[in-house]
Amino acid sequence: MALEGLIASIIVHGLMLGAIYATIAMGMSLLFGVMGVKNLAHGDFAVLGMYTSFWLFTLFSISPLISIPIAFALFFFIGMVITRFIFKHVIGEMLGSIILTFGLSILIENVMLLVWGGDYRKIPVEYGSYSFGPISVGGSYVVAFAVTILLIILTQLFLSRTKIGIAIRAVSQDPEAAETLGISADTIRLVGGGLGMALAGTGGAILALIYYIFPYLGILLTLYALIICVFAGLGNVVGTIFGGIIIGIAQSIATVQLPYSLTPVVGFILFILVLLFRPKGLFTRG
Amino acid sequence: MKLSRQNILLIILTIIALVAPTQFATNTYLLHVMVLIFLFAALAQSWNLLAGYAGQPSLGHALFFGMGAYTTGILTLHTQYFKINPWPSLILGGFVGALLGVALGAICFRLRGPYFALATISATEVVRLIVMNSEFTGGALGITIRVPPPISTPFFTIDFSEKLPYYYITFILMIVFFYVVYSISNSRYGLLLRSIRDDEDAAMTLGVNAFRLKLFTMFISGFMAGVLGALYAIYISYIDPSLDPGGVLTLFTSIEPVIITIIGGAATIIGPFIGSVIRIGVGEYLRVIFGWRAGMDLIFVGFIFLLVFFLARKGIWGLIRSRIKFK
Repeated sequence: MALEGLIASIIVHGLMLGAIYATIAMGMSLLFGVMGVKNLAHGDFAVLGMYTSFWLFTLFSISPLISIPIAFALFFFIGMVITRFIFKHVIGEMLGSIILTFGLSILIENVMLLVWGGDYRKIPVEYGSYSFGPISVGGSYVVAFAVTILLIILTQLFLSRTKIGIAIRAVSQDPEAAETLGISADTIRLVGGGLGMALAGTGGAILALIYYIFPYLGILLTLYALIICVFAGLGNVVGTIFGGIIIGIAQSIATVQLPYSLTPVVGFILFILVLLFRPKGLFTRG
Repeated sequence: MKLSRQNILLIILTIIALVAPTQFATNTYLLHVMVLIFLFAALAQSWNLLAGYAGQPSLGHALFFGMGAYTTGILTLHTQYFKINPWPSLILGGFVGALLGVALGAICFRLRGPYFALATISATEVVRLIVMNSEFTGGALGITIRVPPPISTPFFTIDFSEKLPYYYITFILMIVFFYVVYSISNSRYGLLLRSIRDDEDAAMTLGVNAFRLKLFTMFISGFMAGVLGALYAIYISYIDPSLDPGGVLTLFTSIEPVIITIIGGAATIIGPFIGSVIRIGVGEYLRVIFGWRAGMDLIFVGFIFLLVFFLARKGIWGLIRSRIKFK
């Protein structure tokens, strides 16, 4: 009984963490789809989202739940600015975008370190604890999961039902063909870039509910997002959700089976295996 | 080697570098910075061979460098002989790096470009986590290495608790590695590597055995990085397995040669040296000035990196060379 409860609890926690990783990875996937930019600074923007939530709470006592939409709006704007002034130079350039965003990542991480120091911070809010049968889950996990699912559904609806969303997908598939059909690729890239970055920032703001905040977390989040994107096949937004869940669950199983500091190994080994045997992603045909 | 103007300049610079320490031997901090500049220039050159010339953007150089360092560390930890004389471990570290290079290449060379880079990051991280959780390698505490005992010759004594011997060792290693990469890049083999970099499929169609060539390059590059790692461990006297900057197996270590080479100019011989002077030299200077605030040197590096990206895609040496040509 206790063991079953433990396993169920592991899977539930993994699912919840994985869903948050998936939102961050969805943003990365979107950026890659719309612009062909592989954003190695993606995790750093997520960490900026975490700090946004933290400082709004610390300075203005704004509830982290209200910070989530604020982070969305803020990072949508930041994303548009960055697309307009920085990513514009590397559209469609795989290696160029990697080098550029890599420099950006070093810059952001160390500016955060300089300004806010390297301390591990946490937002001191509690949402109680809930029990589902044998499983007991912290309230902040439940809240974070609910918001994540809402965000994923809204993003999916936006991409599949609205005109702009469909245009974003059109530009991802074939920018030239989309332009001949009267879609302005530049405008769509601006929206797509904004949305991609907003997903990173919002994912970070949600992650701040349950996780510690420190500047060098960014590189780890970037790696996770990349791994998830490769699982899903780059540009495949739906697949990222499953990729995220796989990583989340694999990690929380590892937490129980292995010493704590060894847990990331599982994700990386899974990643190498997928790269070797299904280099186009787990959820792609052919 | 014919005595062109360029070669004369190089020889003069070498002589200056060899004689200069007699003037500032008392300034140990300057010597320390010079040692790091030479060491990381050589490391960047080994990355340059693999990424700049052969087009394989490895982000796993920390694996070779770190395991080279661990070769020294493990040998001094477990055997009596290496406690007294750690120097043969430089060669052994080189071979460990080379073998790891071949192993990593055999697994990862099926992947191309960014996927290759990601796979090398992951493999390095897997190894780091295993090393950090193993008793045999000193675990999370790392390994402390004793200063090698002095070597006496009839004329003078080499005291390894000083910086000066390391200045000459790293300088000579750097010259040797630069020369190796220089001769490779000017040989038929270098030409084949460039053909792989520019279009692997086309090269293979013309009968180039890309896989074998890439493995061989990985062997040489891994060997260089392994030797440097082993030397670094002796020089710093401590091996740090942690995830923080300074840990030998971290992504930070893998990134260092990338930054240096890209700033200086990839696929050029002089580039890694220029990059190292800027990255290590200016970085250390800023760390002294802004010591009270961590990260200032890296902010500068990130900024330079972006600047180089927008102003000179071929790095600083590429920019200088294109200017000279047009005059």
